[in-house]
Amino acid sequence: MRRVAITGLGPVSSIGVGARAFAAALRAGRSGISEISAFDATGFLHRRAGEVTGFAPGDLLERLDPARWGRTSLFAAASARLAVRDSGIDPDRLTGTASGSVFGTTGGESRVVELLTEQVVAAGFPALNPAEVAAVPAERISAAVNAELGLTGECLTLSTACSASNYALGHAYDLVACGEQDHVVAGGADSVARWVHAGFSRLGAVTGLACAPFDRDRSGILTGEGGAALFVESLDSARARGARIYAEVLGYGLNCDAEHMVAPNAESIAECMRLAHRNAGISASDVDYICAHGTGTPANDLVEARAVHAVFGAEPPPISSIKSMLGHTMGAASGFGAIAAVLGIAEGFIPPTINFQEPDPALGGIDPVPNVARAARLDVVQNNGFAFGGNNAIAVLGRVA
Amino acid sequence: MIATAERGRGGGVSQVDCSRQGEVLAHELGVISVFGGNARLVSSVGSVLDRTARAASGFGAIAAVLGIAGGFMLRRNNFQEPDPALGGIDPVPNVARAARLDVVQNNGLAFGGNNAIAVLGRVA
Repeated sequence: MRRVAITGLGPVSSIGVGARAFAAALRAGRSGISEISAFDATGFLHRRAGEVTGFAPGDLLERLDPARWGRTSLFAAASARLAVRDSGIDPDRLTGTASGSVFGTTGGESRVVELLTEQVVAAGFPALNPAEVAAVPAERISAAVNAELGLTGECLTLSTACSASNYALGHAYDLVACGEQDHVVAGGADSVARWVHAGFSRLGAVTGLACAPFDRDRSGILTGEGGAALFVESLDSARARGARIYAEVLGYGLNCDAEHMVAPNAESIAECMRLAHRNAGISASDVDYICAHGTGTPANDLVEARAVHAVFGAEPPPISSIKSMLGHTMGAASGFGAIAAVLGIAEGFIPPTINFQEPDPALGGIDPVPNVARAARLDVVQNNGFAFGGNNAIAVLGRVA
Repeated sequence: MIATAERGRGGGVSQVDCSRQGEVLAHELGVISVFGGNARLVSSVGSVLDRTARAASGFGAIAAVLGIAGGFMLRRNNFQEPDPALGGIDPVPNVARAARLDVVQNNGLAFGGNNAIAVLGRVA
């Protein structure tokens, strides 16, 4: 088994594009929330989301023609290109079957589907634009990454919803650790879309002005978007080329509640944490910070806090939610969480939970790192991702000793 | 990709199960270039089922496994005229054929050139 390093980061987010801008925004506790411009939100009770305003894929991409791809695929490809640039590797080294990609998503190219639906409603089936029909399939997300970078190895899109980026990072870890691939770009991508906003609104899960995870008066999520990519290679290869090594992937855990589609299960989530710790070869007491799933719904944050107490005891490590800044970026969410964890390890800080006003006594005394980033030496970070269907995925990241 | 899958086995494939009906020409050329002039028997469950999109190579794998266990090659339905451009492949036209299959290659080729090929064998 090879040790696995993260040497490149490519966030394309509502609070910053590129590792440096994203880290600065996390430290500043910046909000990426704005009035929805992706679609006409008239008639919705709540009309705010975490959009990547001014996303200009043509400025980031080197090979793909943005006109031929959907927004989610462009987020994936742009973030992957940034991660490879950040890694400092010669891109020519990646053009072989030992290099691939694994990307997660929730909604895929929903924006394209909505556009096509509008065309049909307005003028019937003959009005469908064939180029946009071709842009629909979700597998184009990883295909876009491989085409942008010339990767001819693995090309996998995972649709395990809101934990999909942790699934992707875990699979990338397995591929590199076992020698199946030498370089993998792993992460996730999603776009703000009408059906996502409508669906979560009908679930009663969308809030109005700001997402306030772990706050006593938290009232839901805000949908978000972006692309989150991490460049993964073996520790030996990173050292041999003198790369900057942000962190090591220590391991991960996956399980499924196999029960309810939307109600999370604290026992199952606690078991997923234990699986992740065992796989990473660590104890709960080794974890210095938990990058939370932390959606800001009453149910998620309560269940997540209960699971944390079940595993970590009365005094768990600090647990903050970057969804307070980004909104819920769906398939990209645990990818942004992993990037935040890695930056925290490399630069010595914990991102805050912004919009925090009142502690919730029901959460049993957790430390959500309220409102202000905190300097801290982080050796081991746990990154939580939970999805519809009770599909849980947790990654464990560590400082390279 | 076909060559990559073959390397793992060192040859000996009894039947190639094409991923679907109306396979692209590039794929047929791939079969010919890997197996040479003596192209193996190629048939398509896609011709029987019509296209099943994401489940296609799963049905192909089930057909391959049933062929190994039950001793038959599935047929390519709706076959009328050989295509000389395909270099003399045997598509098992229209009638299933009894055969002992020890090793079967199951092709799956996707949009974006995302290729995945499984090799299945009789348990010795």
